[in-house]
This record gives sequence, structure tokens and C-alpha cells, in this order.
Amino acid sequence: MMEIIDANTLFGFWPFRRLDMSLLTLFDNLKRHGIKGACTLSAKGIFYDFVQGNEETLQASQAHEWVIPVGTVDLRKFVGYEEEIKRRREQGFKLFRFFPDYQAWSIESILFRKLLRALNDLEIPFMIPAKTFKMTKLAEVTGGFKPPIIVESSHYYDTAEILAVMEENSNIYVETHWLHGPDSIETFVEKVGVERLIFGSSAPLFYIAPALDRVLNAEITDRQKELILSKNLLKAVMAP
Amino acid sequence: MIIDVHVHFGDWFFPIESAGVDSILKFMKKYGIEKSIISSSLGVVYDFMEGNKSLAEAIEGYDNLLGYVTVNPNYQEESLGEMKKYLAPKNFVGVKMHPSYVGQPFTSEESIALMKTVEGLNVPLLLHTYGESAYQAAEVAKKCPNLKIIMGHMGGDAWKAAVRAAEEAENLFLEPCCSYPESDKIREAVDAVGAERIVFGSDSTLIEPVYVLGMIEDADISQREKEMILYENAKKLFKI
Repeated sequence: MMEIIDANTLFGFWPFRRLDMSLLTLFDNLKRHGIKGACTLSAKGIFYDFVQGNEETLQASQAHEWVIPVGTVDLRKFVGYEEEIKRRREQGFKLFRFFPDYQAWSIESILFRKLLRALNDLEIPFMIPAKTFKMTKLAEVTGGFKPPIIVESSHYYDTAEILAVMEENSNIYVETHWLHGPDSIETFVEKVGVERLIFGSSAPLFYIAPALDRVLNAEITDRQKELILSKNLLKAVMAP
Repeated sequence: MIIDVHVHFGDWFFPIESAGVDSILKFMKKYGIEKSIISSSLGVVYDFMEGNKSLAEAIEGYDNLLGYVTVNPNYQEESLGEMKKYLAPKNFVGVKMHPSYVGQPFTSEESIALMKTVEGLNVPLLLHTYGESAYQAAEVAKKCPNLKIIMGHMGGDAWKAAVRAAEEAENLFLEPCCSYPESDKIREAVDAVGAERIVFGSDSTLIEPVYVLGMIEDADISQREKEMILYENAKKLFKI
């Protein structure tokens, strides 16, 4: 049986619709799908206070072995972000995620450039959604950034541009939950290599089966599925 | 057994290669889809008459491939002509309208006039619904009370509005294929209107069928309700 790790999950509270976002429910759901571990973070860090959110995430990871803690900072606040990144890095956070759509900031702002410098210095990878800006702009803004960048939510409307950007930027990876087209995963494997695809579901906001079954049913080898489902994440992001 | 009521045939302006009848048949075999009801992508995004013709040629001789006649409210007479041409003698069983590509919201006078024409032909209408438009679906449905309208994509990101609309108008059916597999949408739809007014569609060849099948697989509903959604409701609705 292949090891599966979900790179894209959340827990906490969801203000936009009634949803059970508890860690326990997330765990049950992951387990039902044979998923061993998950990169996750508290939604409090997205919507309210990143220090408090990261603290909840840390506590979750200390209480549950399956939790891989993911940090975040909110550039609307900015103050204290650098210290927070350093502190969480020391506590074992190996990946950060950012949410410009929910927090209404731009990747073109000086705040993001400063954040990138801090992450680069500490060699911390990050994940960011692609749907609110064009990938070309992200590639321009992150030029010179060395650690992996995982782009979340690559819809078929963005596929061509993401492929083109990935061909020229070897540190950009794509998380798979929106690679739902009939050729999507196969095309990425062919054009940029299987090593840069990382499985994520966006649970508990989304069902897990759509994203997971898409990978499991992709017309690629079992070895390639194994890489997408866990090994690429472990190598690119979790390796010491 | 599965009937897929939302399938496309023909090339796309995205990097998707699997767009022909061979691909549709391959997915049907892979996932146990007994019948697919298909519209022409050429007809939807450009010339509905040329698209209908190419679809008719492509599915001729296949018992398991059925067609939608694509219509355009800017061409009332021609649309009626297309429906007369394909609905009776051919294996076309419904009508498709996609407001986004014809510059006419489905609330426009022209769109409603065309819907009334479809109503007189006693076949279901697959109507693309996405975003804000879902809020108006009930009002439009009440103007054509004998027309069975399938809300393609179930409103997309406005799925809650689509569910509310279907609660208001009994001739609205929900079809949930979408890039957003929110983890509560199927349960909420079943609670609101009953499983009998939900039908399965995949949006193939834009979306791989397993992605939307995964939504039904993961939905917190009974096996019996899943069977109705995946097969029985469409069989009754289209009389196939």
C-alpha cells in the first residue's frame, strides 16, 4: 500500500459556511481514505491572528503524530512576522502557507518581498494559491528565491501558464487537488516531471476522494503515484 | 451503474487532449458509466449549428452516447430548427444552453423565450449555472413550469443559492459537477430537495469523471441515495 500524505488541509473554524473543522473529524476523514499524515494549520492563523493560529497548530502537532505543522503569517499585520517565522522554524515547522485571497494583500507589495527574503534566508518552502494572480507574476516576484514554492489550486484555466512557468523555474511545484482535467496530471508529469507534483486535497473544505481518486486513477506508473502521494513532499519540503 | 448527464465532445482551448469520442468511451469503460449525454464544445463556445452537426456525426451508431442539441438565444428560429432536426429522429435527448458564451444571461427575454420553446418539446434542458445567476434560477423556472431544468454545476461557487432555488421551484434539478467539491454540498442538496432531484454529471472532458464521482463517493448520504443520483434519476428524467 502506498504511503499517502495530504499537503493541503486545515482545521479550526470556518466562518463562511457551517462545517466541522475539528482535528478529530479531519483525522477520521484522512484515515478513511488511507492517508497517513497531513500538513495542516489552524484557520485562526488565516482569519484572526497568526501567532495564536500557529500556536494551535504547534499544539496539534505535539498531540497528534499525524499532524505535520504548517505555519502562516498575515501580511496585513506584518509586525512580528520575521520573529514568528524564525521561532516556528525552530519548533519544527518546515512549510509555510500564505492566503492573500482571504487577507487581501498583493504578492507585488513590498511586504511580500520582505517576507520572501526572510524565508529564503531560513530556507523555508511555502505554499500559495495561484487563483488570484497570474503565475507569470509570481515567477517574476519570486525570482532568485531558492526553496521550493508549492502552487496550490491550479485550475485548467491556468494550466498552460503554470506549465510554462514551471518549465523555467525548477523550484516551483504544483499541489494536485485542482488537476482534475482528463490529461492534467499526465501532462504535468510529461512536461515538468513527476517530481514536482504534490498531492493535496483541500480537506475539510473539499471532499478528499475527488483529488485522491484522480491521482490513483491517473495514467502514470505506480512509482510515479507514490512520488506524488508522499515522496515528493517528504523530499522537497520535509527533508532536514 | 452510472449515467453521466454532463459530458462534452470536441477540442478545447485548454491543454486538454482527451476530448474525442474515444476518450469519452475510455472513461465510461473505466468508471462503469453506462450512458453519456453529450454536448458539443464547438457548439457551446462558438457555432451551435456546426457543433450539433459534428456531435451527431460523432455519436451516430453508439447506443450508449446520447446528445444534447445546443441552442443559442440570439438565433431563435435556427435554434428551433436544430431542435426539430436532431431531437426526433436522432439519439438526442435534451437541450443545452450555456449563457456565458452567447452574451445572454438565462434571465434575458430571449433566453426565456427559447426555454419556452424547449418546454413545448418536452425534453430536459441542461442549463449552465455558475455564480450569481443561480439566485435567479427559481424565478426563471417558474416561468416555464413544465420544463425540467438541470442546473449544470449546481451554481458552481454559488451552490447554496442553487439549492435554495431548487427548493423553490420543483422543476429544477441539481447537477453538481464543479471544480469546487465542497465537502457538505451533496448532503445539503439531498436534505433540501431530496436525492430524486439530483443527477450525476462529470463535466468531462473538462473534468475527469473520477473527480466528480469522488464527490458522490465521499458524500454523507445513503447508498440508495447514491444510486438514485448516479443512475436512476437520469434514467427517469431523460426516459432512457
